[in-house]
Amino acid sequence: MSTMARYDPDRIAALAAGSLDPAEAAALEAEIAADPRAAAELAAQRLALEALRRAPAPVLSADERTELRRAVAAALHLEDSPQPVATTARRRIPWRPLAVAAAALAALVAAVPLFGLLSVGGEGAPLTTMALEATTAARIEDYATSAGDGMEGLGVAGEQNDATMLGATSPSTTTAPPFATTYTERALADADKAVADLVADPALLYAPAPADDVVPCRDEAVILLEADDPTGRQLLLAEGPLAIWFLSDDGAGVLHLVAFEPDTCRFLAAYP
Amino acid sequence: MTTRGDADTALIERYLRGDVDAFNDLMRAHEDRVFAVCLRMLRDREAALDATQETFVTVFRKVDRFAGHSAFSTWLYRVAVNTCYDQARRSGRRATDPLPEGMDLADNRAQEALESVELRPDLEAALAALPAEFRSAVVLCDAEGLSLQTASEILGVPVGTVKSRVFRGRRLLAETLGNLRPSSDHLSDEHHG
Repeated sequence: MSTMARYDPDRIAALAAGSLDPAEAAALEAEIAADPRAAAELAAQRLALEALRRAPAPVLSADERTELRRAVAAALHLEDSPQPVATTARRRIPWRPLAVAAAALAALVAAVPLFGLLSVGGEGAPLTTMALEATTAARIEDYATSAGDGMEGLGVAGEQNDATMLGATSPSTTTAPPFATTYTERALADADKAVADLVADPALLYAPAPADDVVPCRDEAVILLEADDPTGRQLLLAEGPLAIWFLSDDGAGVLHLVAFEPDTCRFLAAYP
Repeated sequence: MTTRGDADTALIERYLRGDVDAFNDLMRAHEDRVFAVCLRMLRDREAALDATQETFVTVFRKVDRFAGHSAFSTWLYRVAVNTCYDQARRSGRRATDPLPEGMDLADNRAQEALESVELRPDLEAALAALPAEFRSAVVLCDAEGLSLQTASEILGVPVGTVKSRVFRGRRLLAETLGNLRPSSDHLSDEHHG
C-alpha cells in the first residue's frame, strides 16, 4: 500500500504554495519528510512553483502597447483619428481574413456549379457566373484590404459599422429578394447586415430550435471556421433564409460566424 | 468586490457613456496581465498579441452586457483564455496534445533541482508542452497568482478541478524541468542530488 495515499495532494500543493498556516505546514512537512515519495512530490511541486514565480512576467513593449491600444480603439471606432488602423497594424494580423477569404473562395468555387443549376435559364448561367466571380473578387478584395489594417477584419466584410457592435442593435428593415434567385452585392450587403444584427443581438441564435432541425452547410462551415464543432441555426430573416454556423466564447455571444444560402451553401457573410 | 473591481466598474460605466479616457484606463489596468496570460498560453509573441487584441475587442464590444456577477478582470481573463484555446486550435498548436513521452530537457550536470531550473531557459517550452487544461490552471494560479476560486470562475470548472490541474500541471512541469522521473517512481533523488 502506498504511503503517498496518506497525503492529500491538495495539502501538498498548498504546502508548496505556502498557503497553509504555519503550524499546519510544520506538522505536514515533518510528516512528509519521513516519506520519501511524499517528499519527492513536495519537492516537485516546489520546483515548478519556484520556477514559475522566478520567471519574469511578460510585458508589452512600448510599441506593442501603443499598437494594441490603437488597434483596439480603432476596431471600436473610439477615436476620431483618420483611419489609424490602416497605417501601423501588426504584421501578424492578416492571416485570419486572408484565410477566411481563401476558404470562402474555395467554397464559392465549389458552389458555382450548383448556383448555375439554380440560375434562371441556361443562357443566364454564364452571366450569373461572371457576376458571382466579380462579387467574389470584390469580397476578397475587401478582406485583403481589411487584412492590411489589422482590425477592420473584425467588421463584417469591411462594411460593418462597429457602432452597432457596442450594444445598439439596429433591426433590419431591408426587404431583399430571396438569395436563391439573385446574387448581387445587395444580397451580400443584406447578409452582412443580418449577420451584424445577429452578432449584436444573438438571441435568435440561442433560441430553442426544433428537435429535428438539421442545419445545412456544416461541412463548409467547418472549413471556414476551422472548427470541428460549430453550432448551427437555420433562420428565416427579413433578408432571406440563412444557414448560420458560429462559435461562442461564452455561451451567449458570437466569436466567429459564417452565413450561407441554405439551398446551395453559397457563402454569404462572416463575422469577424 | 475588490478596489480594483470597484474601479473597473466605474470605468466601465464611464466607457459606456462614451468616455475614451475610461477605455485607456481599462486597457492600462489589464493589458499587461492579459498579454502575459496569452503569451504563456500560446508562447508565440505575435500570436499572443493577436489574442490580446482579440480579447479586448471582444470584451469592449460586449461590455454593455457585462452583468457584474463576477469581477470584470475575471470575465476578461476568461475571454482571454478561451481566445487562446481557440487560436491555438485554429493555428494547429499543441494546445491539447499530451506531453510527449520521454521528453528530456535535462541538464545532467545539474546537482540540485532548483539550481537546474535557474540554469535552463526552458521554462516557457516546458510550460507550452503541458496539456492546455493544466497549463491554463498553472498559469493563472502560479504564474499570475490568482486564487483557486478566481481561476475556477475563469476556467468555468469547479475549484477541486483547478486544484487537481494545478497539482498535476506542476508535477509535469517539474518532471520536464528537473528531469524528475514520473510520479509513479520515487522522486527524492532529485531533491538530494
